[in-house]
Amino acid sequence: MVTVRALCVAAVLALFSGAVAAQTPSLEELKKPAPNPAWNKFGVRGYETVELAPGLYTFGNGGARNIFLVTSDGVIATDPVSPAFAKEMRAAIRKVTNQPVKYVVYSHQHWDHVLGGKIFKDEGAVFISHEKCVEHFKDLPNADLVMPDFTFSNNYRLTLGGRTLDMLYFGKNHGDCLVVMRPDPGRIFFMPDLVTAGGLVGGTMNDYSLHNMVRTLKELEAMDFDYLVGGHGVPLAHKSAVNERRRYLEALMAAVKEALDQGKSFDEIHKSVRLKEFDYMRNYKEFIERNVYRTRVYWEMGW
Amino acid sequence: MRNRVTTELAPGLYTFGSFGARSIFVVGDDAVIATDPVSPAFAQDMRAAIRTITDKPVKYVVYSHQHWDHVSGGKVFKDEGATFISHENCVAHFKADPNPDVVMPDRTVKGGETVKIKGKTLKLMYFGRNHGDCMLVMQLQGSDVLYVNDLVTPYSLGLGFMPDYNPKEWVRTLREIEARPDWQRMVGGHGIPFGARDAVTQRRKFLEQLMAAVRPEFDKGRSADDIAATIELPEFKDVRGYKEQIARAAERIYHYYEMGW
Repeated sequence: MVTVRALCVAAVLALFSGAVAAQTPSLEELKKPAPNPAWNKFGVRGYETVELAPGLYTFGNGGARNIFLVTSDGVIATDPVSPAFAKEMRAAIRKVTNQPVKYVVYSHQHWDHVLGGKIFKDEGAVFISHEKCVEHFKDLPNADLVMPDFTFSNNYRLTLGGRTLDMLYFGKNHGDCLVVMRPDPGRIFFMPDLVTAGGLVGGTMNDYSLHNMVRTLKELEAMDFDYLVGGHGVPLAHKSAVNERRRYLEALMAAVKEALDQGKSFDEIHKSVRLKEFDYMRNYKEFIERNVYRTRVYWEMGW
Repeated sequence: MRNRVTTELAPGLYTFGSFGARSIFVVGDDAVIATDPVSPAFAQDMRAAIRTITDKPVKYVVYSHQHWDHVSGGKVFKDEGATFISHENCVAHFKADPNPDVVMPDRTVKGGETVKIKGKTLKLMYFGRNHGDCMLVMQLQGSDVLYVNDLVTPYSLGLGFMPDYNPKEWVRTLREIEARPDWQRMVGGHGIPFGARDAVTQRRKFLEQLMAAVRPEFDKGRSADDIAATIELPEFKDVRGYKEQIARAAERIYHYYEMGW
């Protein structure tokens, strides 16, 4: 009896893990251009480290994600996310290398990316952010935040152990201090929150400047690279996810503007403006009405 | 005039608008200080309304903040030679999000300055970040009326998702405004012509109670949608907009605690 029950449990576990494995796309699948069904099946999994290129890793749990670069002279880490996340991340880095973490680079100011740096500060890491983040950090203090030791005003290249990490600034888009990171040799970009591959923007488009987001994405599309890592979601995506996101935002802005110009009421706009050509994207059903609402307010306020 | 009406609040101080949008203007012996022109159509109506009171020119237009739904339409005043004034932080927004209907300011201020016409002085006050980062609160010197624009829509909850508001800085600003003893009435950028001091207090208490209600649920790890579906603030259930806006307001506060935004 005991044996049978144990077998049943084992069978269920096997089925379950089999189902999870089936939902976990391979890196090769993730590299395919948009629209890419592999991006849309993605669910939150446990913490995992994926080597994307020699020395370049992404670490995350689906809910949040970052990159780290291992060099012969230490590690360059990025967004520590939270104390719990940073602890897991520190352990994950140690599995790959004994090198100390020498730098932590913040992508932008939001707490869901930058908290938890203490564990790296304690080992002597230097913290870096765009200078405009500092004002936000001072404005809304958070005990779990390590303040940057070093800031820069436009673009910045960090060099360590013969490797480089470029921080590229595009002005206002998601907040006003976000940098896209370009580790050498420059084929994979880390662009937290500018693009989460395969999904809609979170409902109310938090801290988004729509017009500047489209401009930034266009500037990124014009640059030469192959793949991107987002701040949430899949470990890697084809560059075409930038184009997909940009086309989605442009279609959204145009559809809402057209409805406003037709004199439709706000309620009517919120309930009727839909983008059928993008309904394959993750979270479409959940977020489209709030995206429309947010965009209507953009056309009203310029915010 | 699409229900846009002029209401005199104090000698030489008027509010013009409808529930949809609202502005103030000050009439002196030699000139007029206008504020937010709102839109080309609104500005045209406001110009006509000012003319029914005085034939003096509009010498200044002062913007309350950068959002298009308040600052569009200034051309009618620019054409008669008005000088446009805004807080210095607004300029970067005007450049980052250009709009052909927005007249760029000719002069910028930091807060603490005054705009003077003969017999009337308009005080400009700056409270830092709250709704955007370039909001000017205005007061006609000697009057008991504050023009607070979008900081408070009297006795109404406004848009639940709180566009461009920083909840913490908003509460701080409202507290600072409440601490000033030199006013009794306020005019908002939307809504009824004016409210009393309790309109500011109501807005601040709503935010504080909302934040206090969301924080423990956020800490428990509940989702934004889940919290939004169950949030209740009984003290405010009869306030205009409560039913329509409370869920989105809770979602907005969730994101504040999540992101620091």
